[in-house]
Amino acid sequence: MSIKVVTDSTADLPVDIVNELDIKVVPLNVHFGEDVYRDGVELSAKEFMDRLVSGIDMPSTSQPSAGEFLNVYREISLLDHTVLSLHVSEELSGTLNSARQGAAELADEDKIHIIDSRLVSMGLGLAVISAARAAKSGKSLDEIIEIAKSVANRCRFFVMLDTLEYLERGGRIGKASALLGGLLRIKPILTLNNGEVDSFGRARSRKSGILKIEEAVSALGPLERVAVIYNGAEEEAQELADRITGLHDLDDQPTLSELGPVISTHAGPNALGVVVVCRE
Amino acid sequence: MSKNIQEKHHHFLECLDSVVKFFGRHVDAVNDLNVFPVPDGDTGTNMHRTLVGIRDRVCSIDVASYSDLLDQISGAALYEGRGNSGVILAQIIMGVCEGVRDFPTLDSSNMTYALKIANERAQQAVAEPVPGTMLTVLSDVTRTANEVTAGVSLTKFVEMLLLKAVVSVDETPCHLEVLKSARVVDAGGYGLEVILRALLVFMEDKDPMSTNVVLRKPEGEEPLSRQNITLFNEPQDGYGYCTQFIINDSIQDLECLKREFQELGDSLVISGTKDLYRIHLHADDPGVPISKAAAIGSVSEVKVENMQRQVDALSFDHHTKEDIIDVGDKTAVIPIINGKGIRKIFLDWGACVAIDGGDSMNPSVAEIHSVLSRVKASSILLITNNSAIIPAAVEAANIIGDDVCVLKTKTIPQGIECMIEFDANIDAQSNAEVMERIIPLVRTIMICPASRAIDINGLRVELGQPVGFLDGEISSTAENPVELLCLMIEMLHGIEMEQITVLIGNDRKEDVIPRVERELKDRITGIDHENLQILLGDQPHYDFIVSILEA
Repeated sequence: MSIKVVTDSTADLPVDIVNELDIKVVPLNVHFGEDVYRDGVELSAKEFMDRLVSGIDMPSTSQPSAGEFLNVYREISLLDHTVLSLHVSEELSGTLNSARQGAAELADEDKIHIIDSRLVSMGLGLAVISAARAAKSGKSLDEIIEIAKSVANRCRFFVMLDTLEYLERGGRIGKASALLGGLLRIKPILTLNNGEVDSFGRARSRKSGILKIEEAVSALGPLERVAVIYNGAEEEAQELADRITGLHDLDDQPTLSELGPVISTHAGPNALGVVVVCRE
Repeated sequence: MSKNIQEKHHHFLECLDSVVKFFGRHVDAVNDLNVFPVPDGDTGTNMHRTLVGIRDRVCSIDVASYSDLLDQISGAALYEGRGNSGVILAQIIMGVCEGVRDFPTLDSSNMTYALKIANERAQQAVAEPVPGTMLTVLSDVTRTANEVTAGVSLTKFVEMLLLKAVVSVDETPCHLEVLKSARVVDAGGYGLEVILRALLVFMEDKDPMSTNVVLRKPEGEEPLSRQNITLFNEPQDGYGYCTQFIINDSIQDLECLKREFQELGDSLVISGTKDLYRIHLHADDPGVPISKAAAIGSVSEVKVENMQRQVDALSFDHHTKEDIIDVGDKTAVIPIINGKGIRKIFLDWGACVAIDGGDSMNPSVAEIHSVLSRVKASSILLITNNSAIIPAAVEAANIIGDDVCVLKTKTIPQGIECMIEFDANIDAQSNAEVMERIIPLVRTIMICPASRAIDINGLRVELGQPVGFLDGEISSTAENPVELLCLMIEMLHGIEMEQITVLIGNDRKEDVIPRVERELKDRITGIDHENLQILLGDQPHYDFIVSILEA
């Protein structure tokens, strides 16, 4: 018997990591008008972006069904594995609810452990990676849960968007609504607070926004792990990752993560951000 | 109150009232000695309103003793200073009050001492005194006072100071290149000369309203003929309507017109000749003077403005004067601005209230103070946005104390770019530190119609032609404002422009936005919808105020 880590597609985990650590990702859905796509499975980030920017119809998203979770959990428990299911903040998505409902349908429900990471995107992703590594190295369930919670607690999240339009339309703007309504053009910088989107600051331009994020990251002290998230130019994200690497003694190379269609639906184009795990 | 003190109080008021009246006849002339042809020529207005403010405050006080009288005058001066020149004038008055404190009767030797104190105070009030300004004239006058032999009568003493002031004002262009190239003398220095002359007029017991005046004008312009402009009476209580019109082919001469209109309102000014009289007065019912004018000649260019509404607009935002603005334990930010659109930008980003002020409408220390004192916050950041407003803002902040920090932005664009950085959760001082790093990255372009013809640094600008300023320095002219805007942005091609924000003003409406946008995008490479934003600023005087944020 071993422990298997399950998450959802909002974690924006790169495919090679998913494969390497044997993580099970349950996709959310992206809707373009009548068409429904399974996030990351039937619609790649690139295909999605082309369609988003074309602006013909606006996407929306939906959580996986309870049935999908039931299927995943059943498959794993049939192999007699225990499930640690780590998910996007309940404040941002109904995914966790579907997971709970799915688990409730299963006879051996006690083998399914569902945790709200209070995070999203690579915030969730970094917690999942740590949990999956711990599972792989044979740690006990309690130890893995402890590690996942600890990483999630030490996670800090900063992302600069081009516009708040998409976040507002999708109803996920939370306290960042304070940044809305100004005549003057700005780049909003957002963070996560208690599982919700919150405003971190504003910048006049992309360049000064990136600088602000770098300053915020530097002010956090020693870092364990870093991920750079983006859905615009990869080059820009790589440069940002390199600069942060140069300043910190990290456990791993930073993870470069392209935002998946579900997250991009709410973030809009040209998002760029940094997710870090502070050292204990 | 002893009889003696009452007399002193009365005497001081008489003197100040006479100075106010005499100075009032020079306001336009002082204003016109503006280096640049922009509508910030308000030195005369600022000095006059400072004097009027002091008089009105001192008018309504009870004084118990000589030193109490001096304290009250000093206090009034502290609150009423507005604009650079007004604040310096206030410092001079405060210095004189301090200097004469120990002398119950005034003579030339204790006035010399008082002037010395006044000079010291005034010099300290200015961060970097520049030779060839009001302060130079004050220094020269103070030096002359020192050289006067003891025992000279006070009248003679003032006369000698005046003579020196006239020479010193004449010499200001020798000290300051910018005055020379604009062919003007220093306006503040001239204001000081006028005040000395006003004192002499009072001491010689002449009527400040009818005694002859000599008005200085920019070189090459026709001196205003004494008969042509006449302020017949002083403004009284109540605001009413500012009523202006032109009478062509009048059947009456100036004296008759004066008699006809004097009864109908106050602040009556009549200029011109029989062919064309321009009439200005404040009336409770503007219909009456206009009807009367129609009976005298052909009436045109009638303009009526509700002055109470102007006064309301001058006061504070949507809050009434008494409202307390409570931002709790956060930092409050208060910008000094004008223009509806510009106000909205600041309020959008967290300003709790805005103080009206800008070119030609510098708020006094008291006006700024009254807003500051209504704001409850853990600390307050005051953003000036105009170099002429900085001195009064600093004074007002000093009165309130350590909790107020003044961010000395000199232009609206500097203020706007700083405002983006505002964080109500950190104190005013820390906000200012972050913002001060932004100021050097902001270039400001301002474009307005020239308020007079000028020939400066090889640039010839006709009256009304658009003239452009880059960071406060006169830069270029062109056929029309949009052309000039393109030209001036093109001239900055060497710098990497992160954001260009164009604020449209001068009563221009939204429909000019597409045109400006098209012109800029077509003409200047690198400008696109990402880095260009055009907004209605609704600022007076300036067609365009442009913020260019350097990368």
